[in-house]
Order: sequence, then C-alpha cells, then structure tokens
Amino acid sequence: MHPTRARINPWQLAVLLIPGIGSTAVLGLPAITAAFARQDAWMAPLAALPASALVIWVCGRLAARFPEETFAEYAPKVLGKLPGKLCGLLLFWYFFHLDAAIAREFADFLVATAHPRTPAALAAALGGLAAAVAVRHGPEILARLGELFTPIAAALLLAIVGLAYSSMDGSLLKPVLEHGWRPVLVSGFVTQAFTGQFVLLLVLLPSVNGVPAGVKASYGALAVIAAALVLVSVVSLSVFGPLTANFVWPFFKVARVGTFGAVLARIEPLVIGFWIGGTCLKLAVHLYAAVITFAYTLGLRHWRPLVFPMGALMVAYAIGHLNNLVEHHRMLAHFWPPYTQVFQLILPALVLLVAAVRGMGDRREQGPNEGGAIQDGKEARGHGAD
Amino acid sequence: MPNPLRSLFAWLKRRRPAFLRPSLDSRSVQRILQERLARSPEAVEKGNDVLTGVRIGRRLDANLSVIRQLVGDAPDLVVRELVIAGGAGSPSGARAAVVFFDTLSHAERAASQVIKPLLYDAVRDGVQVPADPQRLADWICTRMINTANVETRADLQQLVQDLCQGKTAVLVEGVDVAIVLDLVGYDTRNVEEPMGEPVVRGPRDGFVDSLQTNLSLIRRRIGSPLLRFDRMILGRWTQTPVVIAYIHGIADPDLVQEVRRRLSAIDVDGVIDTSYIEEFIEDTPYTVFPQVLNTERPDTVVANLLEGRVAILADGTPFALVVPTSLWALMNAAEDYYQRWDGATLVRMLRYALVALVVLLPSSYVAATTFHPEMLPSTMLISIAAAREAVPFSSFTEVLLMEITFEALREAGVRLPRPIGQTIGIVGAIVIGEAAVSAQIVSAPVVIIVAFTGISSFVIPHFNVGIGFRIARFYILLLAGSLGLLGISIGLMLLILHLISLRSFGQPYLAPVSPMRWSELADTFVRLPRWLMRRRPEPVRAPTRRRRDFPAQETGTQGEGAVRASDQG
Repeated sequence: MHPTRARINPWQLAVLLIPGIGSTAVLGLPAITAAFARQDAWMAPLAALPASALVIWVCGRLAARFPEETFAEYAPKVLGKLPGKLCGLLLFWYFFHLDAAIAREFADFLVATAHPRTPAALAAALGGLAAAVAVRHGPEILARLGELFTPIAAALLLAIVGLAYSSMDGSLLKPVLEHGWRPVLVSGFVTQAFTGQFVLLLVLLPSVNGVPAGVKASYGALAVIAAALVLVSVVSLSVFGPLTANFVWPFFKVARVGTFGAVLARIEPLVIGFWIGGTCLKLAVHLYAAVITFAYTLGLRHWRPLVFPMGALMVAYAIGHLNNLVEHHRMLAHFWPPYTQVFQLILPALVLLVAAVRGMGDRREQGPNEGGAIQDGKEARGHGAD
Repeated sequence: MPNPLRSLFAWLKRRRPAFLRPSLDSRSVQRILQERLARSPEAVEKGNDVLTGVRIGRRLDANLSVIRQLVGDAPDLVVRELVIAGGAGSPSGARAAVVFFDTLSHAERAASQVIKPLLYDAVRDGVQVPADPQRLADWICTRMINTANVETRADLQQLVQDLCQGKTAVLVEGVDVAIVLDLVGYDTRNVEEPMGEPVVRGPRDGFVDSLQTNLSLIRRRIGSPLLRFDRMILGRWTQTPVVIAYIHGIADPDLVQEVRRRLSAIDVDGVIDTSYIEEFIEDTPYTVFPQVLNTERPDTVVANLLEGRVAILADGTPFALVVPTSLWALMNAAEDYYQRWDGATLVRMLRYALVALVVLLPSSYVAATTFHPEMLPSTMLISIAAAREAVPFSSFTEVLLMEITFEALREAGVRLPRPIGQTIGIVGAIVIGEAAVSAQIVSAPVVIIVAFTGISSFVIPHFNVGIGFRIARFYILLLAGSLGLLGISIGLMLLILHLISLRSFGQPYLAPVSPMRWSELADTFVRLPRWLMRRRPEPVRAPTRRRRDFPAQETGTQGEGAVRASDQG
C-alpha cells in the first residue's frame, strides 16, 4: 500500500512531530548546549529557529511541487535517475543513522537510570521492537499514538517544571551574553541538529490532508518544540547553573530534584516511563521514514516486510557503532551537527533548487497573482516532464 | 455437476413461477417427499431442498399428513379438524383444520378467536359460506377470524416455518393456500430490573428473553416513526429471528448496510445468544477487548440509537448488541447519564484511574521491589522490606500467586449457588488472605495490592471489558517481572498501540480521543452537562470491510442444499 493513501490531519501531524523530534532533545540537549554557551544555553533553540523553519519551508515547497509523493519518488525525476536514487539512499542513510543514534540514546539512558544491570542491546532491541510493531501499523496509527501521548507528556513536562520551581534560582542565568553571541550561535548550530529533524516532513507531508495546513502545523510543532527546549534549558540552568554541562540528562535530574513538599515526590519512574514511550515514538517515526525512503528508492511495491529486518539492523548498528555513552555524546556535540546538515538542509534544498530551475512540479500554490493561462502552461510543462 | 451450474439451477428452481411448482395435490410429489423424509437424518436437512417451492395442495388430508410427517408426528402439534358450518348454499359446510403447536401458541386464543367463529358464528349469523375456494379463503380471512395478524401462504416450506415459529395455520379443503395467524404465546420472564446493570436513578426495566417484548421496550421509548426494525432469520437449525434496530436519518445508511452484510454472512447451526452473533461480526477477532457493546438496558439501546448507532437483538436473549462502540462507551455506565453531570464526571475519572491501577498496580509493585527499590520513598521501602523479610518467594511469584488465588475465588463465587457464595467470601478473606500472611507465604502489601486491584476491576461497568483488562494485567505483570520499568513501559505502549489499531465497524476504538474529535470529548472521560452536548457524534463514514472472514464461515457450508432463511427475503 502506498503510504500516501493513509490520511493524517494537520493536528495529528503536529502531535506526531512534537514527540517525534522533541523527546530525545528534552532530556539531554541542555547539557550539550550548556557546554558551549553556559548560562546562555537557553537561547540556543531560538538561535536554531530560523534554520529549522527553513527546513520546514523547503520540505513544504517540495511537497507542494510533488503532492502525494515522497522524496525518494520525485528525486530521480528531478535529478535524473542515478543521482536521484543516490539522494534517496543518502536520505535513507540519514534516517537510519539517526534512528540508530536514538536507539543508542534510549539504551544508554535506561541503563544509566533504571536498569543498570540490563544489557544495552536488550534495551535497544525492545525499543526497536515496539517501534517496529508501531510502524507496521502504518502512519495513521503512529499519528494517533502521538495524539494520545503528546498532551499527557506535555502536562508531565509542565508538572516537572512546576515541581522544580522552588529549587530554581534565576540569578544563575546571569550574566546574559557574557561571551557575546558566538557561543549562542554555536550552541544553536548544535540544536539545529535536533530541530532540523523536521526533514521528516519529506516523508510525512504526502500523507497529510492538505499540504499548506500540514506545513502550518509543522511550524506550530516547531514553535512548541522550541518553547519546550527553552523552558527545559531555563529550568535546568536555573536549578543546576554551571553544573548543567556536567550531567548527561540534566532535565531528568531536575525531575529528581522536584518535590511538592512531602506530598509528591519521586516522579522519576513516571518520567522514565514517558521518556520510553516518547523515544519509542521517535524511533518509530524515523524507522518509518527510513523504511519508506528505502522502499521507494529501490522501487519496491511493499514496505511492510522491510520493517522488522530494518529495525533489527538499526538496533545492531545502534549497539555496534559506538562503544559507550561518552563517545555517543562526543559525537552528538561535535560530529553530529555539521553531519546532519548535509541531509536536513542541503539535500532537500538542492533538490528544490533543481526542481525550481527545471520548473518541475505542480506550482499552482505559488501565489494568487499568477494568471490562469500562465498557470495552466506551467502545469502542462510540469506534467510533460514526468 | 459443477457447483456454479448447480447453484444456478437451485436459484432458478426457487424463482420459478407458481404453475411450474409441484403441488401437494400430485401423488408423485407426496411420494417423493415421504420417501426422502423417511430416509436418514442427513436427508432431513436436505428435506429443505426437497420442500423448496412445493405448493400447498387443495386436498386437506394430504396437506395435513405431510405437515404431520414433516414435524415428525410431534406430540405438541395440535390439528383440530372441523367443519365450517354453512348456510343454505352449502349445507354440508367446508372441511377445515386449525394447526398449531400448543407449546408455542395460545390454545385458548386459538379456540376463541379462530375455532369458535368458524364453528358457531357462521351458523348463528346464518352467513352464506362461499362455495368458490378463492372466495372462501378471503371470506375466512376478512370475515371470520378476529385476530390482528392474518396472512396467507402458498408455499409449504414457509408454512411449516411459520408453524415452528409459533404461528397458527388454517387449512381448508379445496383451498390451495393456508391462512396463517399470529397467536404466538409462551411463557417468558416478566420485565424486571436488569441484574447486570443496576442503576440508582434511571429507568428500571430491562430486556427479557422474548424479542417481541424487547422490541416493544424500544418502540415505546422512541415515538418517531423513523425507528426501523429490520428482521432477519439466523441459525440454520434454530431459525432465530434477529432484528437490526436503527433510526432512519440518524444512523449512517452505509453502517446499516454493513451490519446487514455481516449478519447475512453468518452461517451457523444456531444462535442461542447475541454473543454468537458478536463473535462473527467483530472487526478483529484476535483481541481480548470486545468491539461490540452488549446491554440488557432498553434505555442504553435507545440512547445509542439516538447517537446514530445500530442495535442488534435476537430472540431468546435479553442482551442487545450495539455497534459501533468504543472503549469509552464500554467504560460508561447507564447511571452516568442519569446522575448530575459533575458527579458523573468524577465517577468516570475515578473509574479510569482505577482501571489504570488494575493494569499497572501489581506490575509496578513487582518492578519497584525487584528492580528499582531506589525509586520507592525510603520509609515505604523499609516497611515493604520488613514485610517481605521472611517470605520465601520473589515478589513476582507472590503477586502471581495471589492474583491467581483471587481469580479463582472470583470464579468460584460466580459459579457457586448463591447461598454457598457467602462461604467463598469468608474462606477467601480470612483463610487465604489472613492465613497466608501470618504463615509468611506472601507478604501483607501483596495481599493489599491484589485485593485493591480486584476491587478496582469491579468498577468497570461492562464485564467483558473488565476481562480484557484483567488479561492485560497478567501480560504487563509478566513483563514487569522480567524487565522491570522498561517492560511495563514497552508493554503498555504495545497495549495502547493495539487498542488504537482496533476498530469497531470501521470506527476507531479510541475515538474520539484518538483520532481527536473535540466536539465529542464531552462524553468520554468526562460527562459535560447535557446542554453542552449539542451535536450528535459524527456518523461513521464508510465502514471498512473486515479484511478476512472467519474459518467457521468456510467450513460451515457443506450442507449446500440448505437454503438459508435470509436468502428467501
């Protein structure tokens, strides 16, 4: 079945993207950005906003040009068969690699917090299994899972912030911009590796009812994610100050610290549980993207049989490609940001550029000022190129 | 002969015009019928085939003897032969017979409303009995019989069917149709308060085991003429009348059509209860969660009809099915709608919280004590550790042991005759609970947890959803015992995924929460005041067809000659 036959509404897209992108960032990102920008780390998500919005814009333009098609299907039309397929494979590799990194993060977090004696491979395998089962149900079910999960998770996040309020000290955020803008921009670049994951839209937008509404919802999701990241960074920094950079998952520590007198304490099992859920969702979304991109690059008719093998490979890669947590976080901080930009921004922008130059795709949504005759002509040309 | 050809012939045979149909008047038809019926049990099933299209003859004796033979000289078949007294025109009168099962029909009503008019009233009033057979039949129908429901039947098979459904037939010498009257009457329970779904405030009547009464309970609640009852017959041998009820204009026609399609695809020997139907029409058979709501409450059925759903009722059972349904509907009690909305909302939230505990409490205890003691507050950890000190089992074994004990107690309590049921309570509470703790087989916290979980599982209004959650509890427990918090989370995620992927007649099982329909959230885990619930739920568009049919459907068709009653309509 073609994935674009499944229909997701824009609201579902937003609530799928929020945990599908934000869930790993929420716990760990403040530590990475704080290493670069110290007390100004909370500005990093804001610094990353324009570039992330650009990713959404590029994906939206591509989806508008090639409605109901995924990247892997139109890339060969735009770039020519071989380069197009190659781009499809590159995008697949990005999703696959990212998924493995998420699985690694998942396993590391569980082993470090709740299951010290469980092998990381088992934890990653279980996460991969749950994700694969979810993916096999198709994008609609994934979106509905997001609908159930996101509101509750958001409430939990706010609850943690509320509980940590008494431990917060605003003065730890000062002095603002002590070292100027440069560290903020650098940490923003790191953050972009996370918020740039909106490149998922290349695969998801074709399944959404109404591309413009879907793009709008994605901007909304970006705003929510950025707001959540700012909030999480502010809270982590104002609770732990300069210590934030020393933790691996500072916001989890915040959840540990937070209490409401003697009435409400020890909510970290809840946090772990929700984080497992959110990360499985993120794993699932990216696994779905990887499988779809792979299947359509190779022109396969069915993508479902790929899900479990791909999941197994992904878990194996997740466990095998890094030795330990430290390496993983070094990679996330130094190698990951420039590396992901190739796939998140450069690759889709390249395809969009070529498509625009070659005048391919449906351009009806370009604007109302275009005359009907011209529009028809362009449409006809677009179809001729198919 | 190839199968399609054979079924084509069968079809043609059923559709042939009356003059091509064999009549019982023919001696050869009588002989063939008698031969085949005398043969063997399988031939009796094929007897349906033999009967197909055979018309009732003009000769009373032949008709009566075939009918007698068809029902195997049933002792409860009453054949009252009489002579319709004629006036001056035909002094001898017309021979006739009134035929019915006295186990299914009112014998007194047959006597007073059929036999008496035919025997006496004609004589007393000095009415001329028409000599022409066709006019005679009309005359009996229109002038002599004072029952509300009178039909004529020309088809022998249909006539026998009607007799077996409790109708009364009048056969007259020289007339080749039978007059069929509805004098159905047998003992049923009185309308009482439903045992399974009691309310403090709200309508008190419940369905009984008679379809007629149940339909009346619905009809009298909906004054609109748009209430529709579609009747069909299910069950090859039981020939159970089944009614699809809906409100025309509210229920989606596609949905009604789909219900009809799924019901007519059912081919079973018998329908004893609507649960037989339920198993056939579920979207996903392999799940522990019911996708069809069953209720004994007419008010619940009516409320659902008003929301555009379709009810399925069958004769012989007080349980009506309602489709499509959702998890939220199954978690609602009728009472929720009759209480004040604020109270109902709180009760609903309590119910959902307790269901979460049913699924998660035992497993959380096991995970926390086995894998994550650091997650418990220290005072609680100490008291649990003290209680567990002398217990020889792991906490997983403990909980599993007590859960199984509890399930055993509950099952025993349900099965036992009511007077002994009390004993089980005492044995369970004192002997097992108290003794197990003091003998240090299990620790006290485990008993508390299992008991609380058990009580919580009773707040689920629909018993069969409760079973689903109870099974889910063991599944999560197993995962918690082996994988701790990770197991619980993954297990819960897979459980939710499963719930999300379920559908009930095409409607997502968790709608309107997932997929979200804001306007309908008013009646899910909250119940907003009625004046805020202005909109009916969206009709379910285009129910998805079930991907596969049941194996039972394929194996159940070996009796190819049998004509399903639903085909005749």
